[in-house]
Amino acid sequence: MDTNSNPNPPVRILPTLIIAAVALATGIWAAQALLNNKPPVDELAATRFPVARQLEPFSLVDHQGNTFDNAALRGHWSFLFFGYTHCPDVCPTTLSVLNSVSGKLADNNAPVRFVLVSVDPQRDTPEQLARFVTYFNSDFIGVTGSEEGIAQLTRQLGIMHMQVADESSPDSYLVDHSAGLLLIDPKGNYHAVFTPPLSADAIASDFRKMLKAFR
Amino acid sequence: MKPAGFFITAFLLLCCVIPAQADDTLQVSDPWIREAPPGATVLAGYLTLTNTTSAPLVIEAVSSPAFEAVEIHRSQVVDGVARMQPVSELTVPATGNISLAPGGYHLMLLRPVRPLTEGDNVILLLHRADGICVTVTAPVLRMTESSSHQH
Repeated sequence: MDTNSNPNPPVRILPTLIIAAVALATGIWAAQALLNNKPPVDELAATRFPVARQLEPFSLVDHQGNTFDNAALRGHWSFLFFGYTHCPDVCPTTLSVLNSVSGKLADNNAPVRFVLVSVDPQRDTPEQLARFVTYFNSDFIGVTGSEEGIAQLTRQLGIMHMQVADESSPDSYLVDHSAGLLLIDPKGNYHAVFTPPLSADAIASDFRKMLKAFR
Repeated sequence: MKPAGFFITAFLLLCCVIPAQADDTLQVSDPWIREAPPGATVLAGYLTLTNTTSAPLVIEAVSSPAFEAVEIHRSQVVDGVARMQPVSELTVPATGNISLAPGGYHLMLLRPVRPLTEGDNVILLLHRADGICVTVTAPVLRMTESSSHQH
């Protein structure tokens, strides 16, 4: 059978043209709207918020005994990671990745800080954190505080942490915690989050793109 | 250490003193212990186990003279949350292998008898369910991302 034997009658061309014209105009408008709203940050491994989120007040202490609050996050970029020093596998692995990121971003003009926030303030004193974080990089910062102080920060960032009894070792306990790496911008706002598996290359490359697009 | 814990450790060490027949049914490769920050009371150990037999092999326990206790743990990220859980035993599949590596299965090494740094070697005793004990010497390494040396 000849499939071309039924051409559209002329009367049906006009509506088709109108639909095509409307579709084209809508497409151009949508493309322009998207391009105007979206800075040139394409293909990120990170999840970047369309509008960076302001942080509610919180107050903690760093491994040198200095106050670590909203003001301490301003004026530079900060990578925040949540963990604890009695964690022998995931936390050292993450801190090693961050050390590698730090090396890759060393030529960067924008100051970047790397912060481990303890989700185990009971055992993680500033002294304990100092030994732990500076082992991986002398510039790394460890942050701890009261249970309530930690919760002020974790609750608003959606960071989960929970003590779990270690059945085979009754004297100790483990802490389950969110494994994301959070990026705070120089205005002190929550800018983006990286989810595991964390790759130093992807983090460094994404950071450069976000830095370029930051106003 | 509690008396019961001491007794169990002593027993586990003793079982490895009785010489097992030469046995290559379970092969151990790339054992290493991650050097930890000074003062650390928990370290992690890694290795790959290969079973050359046609039946699964079970590791019931691990002990070490260098640590007060050794547990088998597994790290997992579930719905964005990092969890670490004790595992009661490790099963090496028939003619297969299992890797204990960062971010997955690992040996949780508790309370080192003395501080360990890169260059030290640690003896690990793997206690098989069939009674055979496998002795492994694991070097302490300062490792970074993707198992490359950092210096």
